[in-house]
Amino acid sequence: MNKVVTISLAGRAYELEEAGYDALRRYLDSARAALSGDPDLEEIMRDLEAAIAEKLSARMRPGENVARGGDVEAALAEMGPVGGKAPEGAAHAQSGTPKKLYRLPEAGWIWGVCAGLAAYFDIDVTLVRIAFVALAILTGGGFFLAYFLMVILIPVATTPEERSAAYGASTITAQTLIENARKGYEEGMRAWQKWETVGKAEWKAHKAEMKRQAKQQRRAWKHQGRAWQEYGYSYYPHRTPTVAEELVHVAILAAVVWAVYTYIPGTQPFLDHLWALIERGWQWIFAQIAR
Amino acid sequence: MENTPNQKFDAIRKGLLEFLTAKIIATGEVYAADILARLAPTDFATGEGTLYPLLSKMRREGLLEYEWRESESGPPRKYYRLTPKGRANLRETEAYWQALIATIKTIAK
Repeated sequence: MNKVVTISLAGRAYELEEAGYDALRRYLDSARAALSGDPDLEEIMRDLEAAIAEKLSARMRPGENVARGGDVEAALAEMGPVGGKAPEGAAHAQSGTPKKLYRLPEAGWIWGVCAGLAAYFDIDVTLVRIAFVALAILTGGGFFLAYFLMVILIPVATTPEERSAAYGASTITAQTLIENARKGYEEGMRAWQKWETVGKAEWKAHKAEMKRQAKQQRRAWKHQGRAWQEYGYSYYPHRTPTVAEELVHVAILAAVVWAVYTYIPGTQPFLDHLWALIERGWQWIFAQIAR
Repeated sequence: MENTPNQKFDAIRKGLLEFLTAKIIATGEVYAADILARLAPTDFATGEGTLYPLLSKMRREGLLEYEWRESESGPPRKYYRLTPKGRANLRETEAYWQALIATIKTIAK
């Protein structure tokens, strides 16, 4: 018996046997590693994924999305290893993607914040949840706001690569965490200095490049969106929440609203007003029914 | 272990791939699979894994540009064409290549 994994490539769903999935992930991970530092990394990755998708589709019967044994391997062999700068030994390619903080809704209870944090810090998700609830109680509900903020600020992992990046290829240590933070800061500072000293022409070229990349990103989203419309959301591994989980959702939403109302000054008049509007709406509906 | 001819000329092929890619793109608007198909029967046969980073590098250097076009089958594709700078660069390489061949032919005469 073979386990089958559903993945999304270039906005299309494919079902792969586990061996094929592993091969694909290894290929994409090493491609990412080989291209690290390339300013067009994301664009090239999208192009590579689209090419793999096209090759897989060519091997399947029309209307089918199941890759048989060897299909993935054959497609990847056709692609050839990803160039870019010379690989610095095999160890480099195997280290995989750096860990990134993502929300993992399909692994979580509510919006996947705890699951994402647990994956990032490599600790049990239950411990994170307990910590969250404890902090929420200690702060009198105020910490629910932190959860809500994280829902907004932390991106959702939707693609297989993002999900694997959420878990990371290897366990991350505190040392690498600190190093990453420092590197990010230094890069930010360098970019800032560059901004201040660039000439007008360079600035224009930089702006044009940013615009081009934004356009490319928008295009990718548009295409993804169309794929969602065509195939539905079902192929993203997602389970329907149980009644208990739905109740938790509602309770947490209520808690968030209550916390906002209680702790953020200035929102009270607004929410009061909103509530009055809702009340009036209800009264109007009841009046219509009673008539 | 002796190097096979294939490995021996690896460096030469690698260096010339950009030249050949530019030549193919100069024939008109092409997309990545066209380029690969034309390279396939030659010694320069390669895959997307090599071509895409190369195309991306050439675009950054201002040698080529691309345009998205819908295709009858599947998602839209990027069609590449040379920029004036890319054409000038190709002419230059072509001239250098001719000079190189002339040198190779006459050096031992």
